[in-house]
Amino acid sequence: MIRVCNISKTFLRNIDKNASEKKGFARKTKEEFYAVNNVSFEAKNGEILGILGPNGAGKTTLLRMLASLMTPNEGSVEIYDSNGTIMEKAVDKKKHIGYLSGNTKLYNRFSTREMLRILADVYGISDEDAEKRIGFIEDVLEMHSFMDNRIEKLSTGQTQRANIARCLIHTPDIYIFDEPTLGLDVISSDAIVNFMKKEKESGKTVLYSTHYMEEAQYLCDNIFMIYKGKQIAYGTPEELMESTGTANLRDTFKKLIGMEAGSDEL
Amino acid sequence: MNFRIIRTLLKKEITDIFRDTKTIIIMIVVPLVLYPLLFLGTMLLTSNIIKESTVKTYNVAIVSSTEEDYAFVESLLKEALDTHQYHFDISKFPTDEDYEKSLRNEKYQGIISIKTLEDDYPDFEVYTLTSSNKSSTCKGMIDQVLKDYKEKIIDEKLKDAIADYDALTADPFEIDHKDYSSKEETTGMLIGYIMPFMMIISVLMGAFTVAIDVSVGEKERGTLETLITLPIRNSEMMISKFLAVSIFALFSVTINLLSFTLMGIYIYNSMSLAKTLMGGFKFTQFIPSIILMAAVMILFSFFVSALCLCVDFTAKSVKEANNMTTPLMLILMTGAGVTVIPGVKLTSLKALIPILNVSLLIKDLFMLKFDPYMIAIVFFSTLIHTMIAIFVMTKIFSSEDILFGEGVKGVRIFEKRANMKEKQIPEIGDIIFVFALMFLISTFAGGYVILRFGFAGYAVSQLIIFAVPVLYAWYMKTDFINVFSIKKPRINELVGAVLFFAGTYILVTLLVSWVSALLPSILESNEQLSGIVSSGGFVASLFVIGIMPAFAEEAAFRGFLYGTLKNKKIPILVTMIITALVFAAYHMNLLQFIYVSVMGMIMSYMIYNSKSIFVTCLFHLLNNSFSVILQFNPQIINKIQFLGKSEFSLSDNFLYLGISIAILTLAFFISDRKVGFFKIKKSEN
Repeated sequence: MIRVCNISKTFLRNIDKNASEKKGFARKTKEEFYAVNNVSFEAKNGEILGILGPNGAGKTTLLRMLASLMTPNEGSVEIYDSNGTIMEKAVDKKKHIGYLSGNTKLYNRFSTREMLRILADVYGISDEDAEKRIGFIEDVLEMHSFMDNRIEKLSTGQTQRANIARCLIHTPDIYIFDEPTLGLDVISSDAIVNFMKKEKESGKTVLYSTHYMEEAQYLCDNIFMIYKGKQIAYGTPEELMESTGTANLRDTFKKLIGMEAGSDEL
Repeated sequence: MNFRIIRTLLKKEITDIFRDTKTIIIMIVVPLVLYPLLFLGTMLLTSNIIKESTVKTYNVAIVSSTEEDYAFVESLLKEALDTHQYHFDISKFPTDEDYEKSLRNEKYQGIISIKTLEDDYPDFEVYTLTSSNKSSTCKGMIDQVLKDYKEKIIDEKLKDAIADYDALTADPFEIDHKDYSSKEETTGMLIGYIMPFMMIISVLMGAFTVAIDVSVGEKERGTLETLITLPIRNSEMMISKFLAVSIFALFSVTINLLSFTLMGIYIYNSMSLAKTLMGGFKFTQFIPSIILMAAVMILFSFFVSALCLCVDFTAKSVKEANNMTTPLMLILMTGAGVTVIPGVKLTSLKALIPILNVSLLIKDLFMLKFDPYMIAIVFFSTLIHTMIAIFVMTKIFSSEDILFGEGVKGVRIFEKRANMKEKQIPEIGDIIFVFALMFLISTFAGGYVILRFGFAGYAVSQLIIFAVPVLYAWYMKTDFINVFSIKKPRINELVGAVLFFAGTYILVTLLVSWVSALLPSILESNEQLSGIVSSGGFVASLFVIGIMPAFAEEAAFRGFLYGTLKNKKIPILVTMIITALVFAAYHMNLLQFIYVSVMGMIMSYMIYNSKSIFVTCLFHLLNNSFSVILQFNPQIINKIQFLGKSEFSLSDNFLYLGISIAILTLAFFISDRKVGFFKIKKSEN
């Protein structure tokens, strides 16, 4: 289970002072802005939480903070293991999280099997257990044909499966997937969707962000919508559709974003 | 810290790098194949050049009115084949041709015109084209031939004139050469010139590419984010990366050394020249040199690796890292190249300078000079440099900053000035950077300038000491008023400074007498300085020695250093001590270190109490100017008994110590803001 309490993250952004006046040299200065602004939610065991938002809304920053890759400027991220014990240190939190995003690239010069062995070693899994686990993952993700090829030789779909295998090696309690089906064909993306469903049924927590609304509507127990770093909606897909009076999540999304964008202009 | 994780990550880094063909080519193939090829190529080329110059034939034309003259010059030139192995192709100059043209189109390399004078020896005119290599050599050869002829004539004339000519020109004495340097030493000297450069370059070749690969390279490939999803601490990640870089640096050193040795053995076995040079040569003589060199190279590899990572962790892309490491590479190569300059010897001062000390030590080791004192200093100072580099690296390294690029907080110079906040306080990283820069510039550039321009150079080095911290502070928009303690001093504090100067001067004189009584050798090194001091004339000396340091050194030490530290969470006493010790160490002289520490402590107190840099400036000004005045006006020393003394009787010791303490106490009570005569009430402060 994961609980997020009022987290915020600020960055410095380059802005060009003279750009608007169109004179002199470009004088760049930095300006502080909120990538994530005071956000709270929670995801229980056996729940899939969908995190939706347009590009640049702060999804990736939010997920990075959840995975303890970044530290929030304010607020806290509470991670509980399957027994309900809270994890204090970032190192312990990471042991219970499987994080996947478009930015987590794999070591090209290793084969999937070699990579998994190294990871098992880092997680402190014994050689014997690691072999069993690797065999299991190989079966689940149907990776037999390319386990021993170097990752640089794999196709996009195979690389994505290898990347998921990376998240599974330590049997985490929480999965955090940042657009896991992006750019994949129907078969590969279905495999990943099915995988998330199966993990949910076995009592794991799954958080994932996507741009595919149909997929989210079908898969998620709860939806958290973020725009310009702020929460704009939080609830089950049904609740959200009802509150906006729309028939599907795609329209809900459009309406909510449109409303926010409209209110900005006022 | 988990060693299992470090080991696993290290294994991963090493495997990863070994599978990169580019790195392997640079690290293994280049030294093993390219070096020997280059070396042998150069050797073949030089031997060819030597051969060519002796075997080459030169076309020389003779201009003469008679056949007799022609035959005479021809015989002179032909004789040169026996005496000098000169090959001339001699011909008559065709009457219809122009001298210059025929030289320019390389038909001839030299033309000799002969003019017969009645009853005398002939005169010669030699035409050549010295801008052409071949013709220039030909000119030298013709000159030699004519010189021989001249000597022959003079010899004959003398023989005719002096009866006992042979007896007079016989060698009056014999010279017998005996050289004590062994064959090992001669060879060692040769190796000593090449080895430091080769070693330092090989460390660079190993560390540079790998350091970029494991830092920004990983970031650019996107695997760094994957790496930090794992439950590893920053320290574990940093250490594994640092060790990987160091191991490859050492690996590169080993490969280079191997290549060098193999080449040496090949040359020794295959070339007769080498055998005659080094016959009966014992390689075993060099075993201690090699062992010591290996030990120092291990430390040095750590140093360079940490240095490279410091730079590469701050870079945003591989391209930027390459740009940023190039100056570092140049500095390292300069340090390595210095050994080739004759007369640059390892001294206790140079043993403290990074890079230079290692390359000079390696040179000494192969010249079979084993000075335990120097070896110890080089090892110790390299250890300190390495520790500083690693410390800075840990300060710079923070995975979140590296990954998501919020820039480095440790050293601000890498940020654009426009991005700086106003009224900043420098960080510890800034201090290290500024002092490293000051140290580098003043030892490499300043040292040279002093050697070259003497007195004026001293002024330049003071300007550098002033400019580096002040410009750096300006660049990062430092809060000048706060950091440099710019504040109007109170009158009583200035009076206090004068008294402090008097008290300290007496105390320091006593201290010097005690130290030199204990360690007489210490005084010798101090003599050198006064030579520079007195070479510029009184007014100039007063300005450069008396006034300039009072501002330059104050800006650097009581300004930048003390001013930064006082704003940190460090007990003020520690800040005061650090400032005093760094100031003392900067003088780079053991005797000065001892008394400047005491002086530095008093100055630290003064700046702490008054919070005005002008108070310590006044103190510094008085102290330095007084020394200069004494130097130029020895009559003062005669008038005041105390100043001329370097040894004191026991009672004098107590007397002057008492006076000194009394003056210092008085100065303290006049100056102090809390308990002094002119103390400031809390409400006013």
